[in-house]
Amino acid sequence: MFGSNKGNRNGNKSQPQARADGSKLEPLSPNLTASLQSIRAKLGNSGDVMIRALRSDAMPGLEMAVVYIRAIVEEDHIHQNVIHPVMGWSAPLEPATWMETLRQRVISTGATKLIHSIDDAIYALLDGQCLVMTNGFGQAVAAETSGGEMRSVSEPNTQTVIRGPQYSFNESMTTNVGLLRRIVRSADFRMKTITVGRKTRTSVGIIYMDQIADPKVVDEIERRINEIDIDGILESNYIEEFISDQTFTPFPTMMNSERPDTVASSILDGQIAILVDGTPFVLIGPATFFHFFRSAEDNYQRFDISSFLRILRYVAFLASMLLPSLFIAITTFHQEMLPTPLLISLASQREGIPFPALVEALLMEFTFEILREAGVRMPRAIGPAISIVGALVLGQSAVQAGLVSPAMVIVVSFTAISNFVTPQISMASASRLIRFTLMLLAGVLGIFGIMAGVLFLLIHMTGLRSFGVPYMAPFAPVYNQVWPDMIIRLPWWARVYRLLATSKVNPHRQQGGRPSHQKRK
Amino acid sequence: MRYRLKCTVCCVLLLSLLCIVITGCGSRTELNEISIVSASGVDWKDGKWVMSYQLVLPQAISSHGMGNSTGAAPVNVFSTSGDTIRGAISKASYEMSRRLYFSQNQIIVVSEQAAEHGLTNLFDAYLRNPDSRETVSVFLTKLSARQVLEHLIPLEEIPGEAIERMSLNEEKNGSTLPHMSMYRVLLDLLGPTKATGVASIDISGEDPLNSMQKMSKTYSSSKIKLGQLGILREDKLAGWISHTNSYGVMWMRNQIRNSSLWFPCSSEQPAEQAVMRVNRTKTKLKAKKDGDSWKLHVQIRAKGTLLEYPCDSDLSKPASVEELEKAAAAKIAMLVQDSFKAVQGVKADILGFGEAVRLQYPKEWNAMTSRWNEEIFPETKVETDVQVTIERTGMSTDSFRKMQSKAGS
Repeated sequence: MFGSNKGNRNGNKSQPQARADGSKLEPLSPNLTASLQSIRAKLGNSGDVMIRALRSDAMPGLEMAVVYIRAIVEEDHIHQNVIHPVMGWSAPLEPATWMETLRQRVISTGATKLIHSIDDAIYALLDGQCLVMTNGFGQAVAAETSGGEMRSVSEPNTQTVIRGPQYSFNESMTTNVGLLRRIVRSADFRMKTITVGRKTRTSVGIIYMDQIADPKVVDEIERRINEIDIDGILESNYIEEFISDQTFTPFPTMMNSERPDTVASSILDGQIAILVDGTPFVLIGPATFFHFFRSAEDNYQRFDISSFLRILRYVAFLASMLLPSLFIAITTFHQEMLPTPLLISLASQREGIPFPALVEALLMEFTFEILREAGVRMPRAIGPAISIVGALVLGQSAVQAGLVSPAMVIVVSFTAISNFVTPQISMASASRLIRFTLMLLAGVLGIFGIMAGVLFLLIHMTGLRSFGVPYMAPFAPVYNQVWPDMIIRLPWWARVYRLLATSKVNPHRQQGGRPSHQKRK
Repeated sequence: MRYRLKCTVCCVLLLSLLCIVITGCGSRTELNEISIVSASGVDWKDGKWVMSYQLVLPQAISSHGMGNSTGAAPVNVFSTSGDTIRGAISKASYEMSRRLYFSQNQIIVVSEQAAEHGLTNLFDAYLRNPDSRETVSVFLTKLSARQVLEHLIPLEEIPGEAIERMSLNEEKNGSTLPHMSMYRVLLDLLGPTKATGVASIDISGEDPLNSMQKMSKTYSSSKIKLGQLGILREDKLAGWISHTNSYGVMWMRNQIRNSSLWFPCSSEQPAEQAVMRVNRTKTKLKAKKDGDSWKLHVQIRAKGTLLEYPCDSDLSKPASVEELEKAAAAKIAMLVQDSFKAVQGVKADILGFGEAVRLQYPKEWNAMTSRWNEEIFPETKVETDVQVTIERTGMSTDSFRKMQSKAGS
């Protein structure tokens, strides 16, 4: 079934020439009224289908019509480049070649095409093209006139930097590809378009660098996207869940970014970007665990501070995953591990607290998660109210009321803040989920439980693959040339190798070595 | 495939459920279910072990919230007795709502009677139980152990911890008494000579006020102090030596870390004492066979700074500094000689002499191991080879007195 679709979808903004089941397409009737009637009927007599009857000076005896769907075309464009030239065309011509002439000489839009069937006509209309039809010809000319309102390119909302480009993708794939093209002005820049979604017919673009990306991975991604058979694709996460190697894992195996510079640097590293029409978030794969701790800004700041921040992110990730569980384990199972003054201080805080440490921690964690979710969901105007309720009422009063100990509040808030350090939100969410599991394990088995949990995670992670790339690469397996650049950020002249372990095609980013003026004579 | 996945998921869920059920949070102890013991005492009274515990009351100590304003004592002391040490401890549950938590125990105080009775039970309990740590500091006392535990210490909130720090501070800056952890005690007692020295704690002065009333005064008429050195042989207390002799022992055992040594500064003015800060020392012990008897050769190399100097010599001249160094060396030699005699009197070799013999003359040592402490060690002799280097004489060369006389002339 997928095989038969494949050929069609690979075409540019395909209009199927034959139905999936192989039956013949219904041809356009030579009778204009009949054709218009059937197009209208197919579209359910929708009010936004515009039909403009006209006659051309060239063929005064012929009835003609221009058909388009109002909201998804640029009407000015149609007036100037379709209707006006058609009406004003007066050069003599052979009536039999009228449609050909229309397509080639009269209509002055970018792309034109002759259409023979009702279905193709419908698809063309839905794609924002306009149809020019003439009575007596079983054909229509489709002219590319798509347009309509679109958010302009603006500052990134979720992945901000202090230094670096300050613009982000918007919801139009055409714009997004343009933004990328403008950064990577190379002939090796490749894009494959696939239409996915039975009803939405969303364009999905695979963008990669020829000679850098692994062609096998490109083919595999293409194959997986082609397999998708769903009515609608509204966001890139649809695609991510369909094509990622494993569904049942807390760890994401594809990154996403709304920053053109991040995507550009990824494709230069041999990764492959997947753009989805209708969302500014671009998928990037293959991605290993360590890719998720790289921020765009790392490349724009001095290498020393970038390295420090990168290490800090790893520490914060571990803290956000482990801190509450370690606290529970140590205070309920391994009190001997604490220095006496600390133990006494913690013990005095716990006096009179009615719940076990585990319950106390879960209570606070859930409270925080609720606050956080409320903060995201809430209308912006009430935002400050939540922070007051959250910080003062729940934090301070809970302590004063003796429901939770102050140390627990510190632990939970530190954990929560650490969680925001991870640049990729999908990875931060992973640590949120794992945290709860580890807390339960810690509450039941102490540090032994945490060790068991962490070991399980490690085993799981080493088994994960992202489009065939081991998730823990470059550490398991070890790729010596790449791993220093994963922990710290080397100075630019030392970053000789492209990051992705699969990038065997063209592994060198540059010749490398110190700049000549820095070399000792 | 899907069936297998379901199986795996079910298995994992079942196993984790099983874990929770089986363990049932069994070993979990919340912080408010334990009472932290900061010091424990061992007494021997009427044929029974009396164990005393100094429990920390966290509410009274912590700085947060209501804190110390209630004026409650930061610790609480109580005792239990029984035929065995662990038995006595287990009786604590008759009168305590919480489990005694020994892992944070800082010091253990053993009374003279208990030490004379023999401490095999105590040592065994420490070697056998995971919650009794060998890092705990050991002290002897001539009073009852409970009295020591009841005593509060100014500035400090937890007396047990304060006593440990006091002893550590002494070892680091005074070096007259050793800081003995249970580990070091056991190491010595299980060593070749089966003897060790443990510092004692005294309470000086009588105080009619109770501990809490004392907190509101600027001085305290009774104080906890480090006292003499008690010498343990095998598992019993063999005797006491004064802290001056203990200082000599520390020199011999190479345990001086930082110490103030005073000595007569010149032969013309024997009453005047100079003081030097010993910064670095190195002691080497060598056993010498001298016919039938044994001789301990003590080689000491010490370096330090002059702290006080009341005499008249001109310290800018190397010769007079050298004279001073010799006087200091003589003082050290005298200390060593004296304490050697004192230790011989107790008949317990805590000096490492036996160890030196064992290393140099293993065969002879094996033959006389059992007789060493009682018969051979008291008959041995010591010879000293002490060299002192005064590296700096401080910021002034002449003594104050000399400067004054110069100014007058």
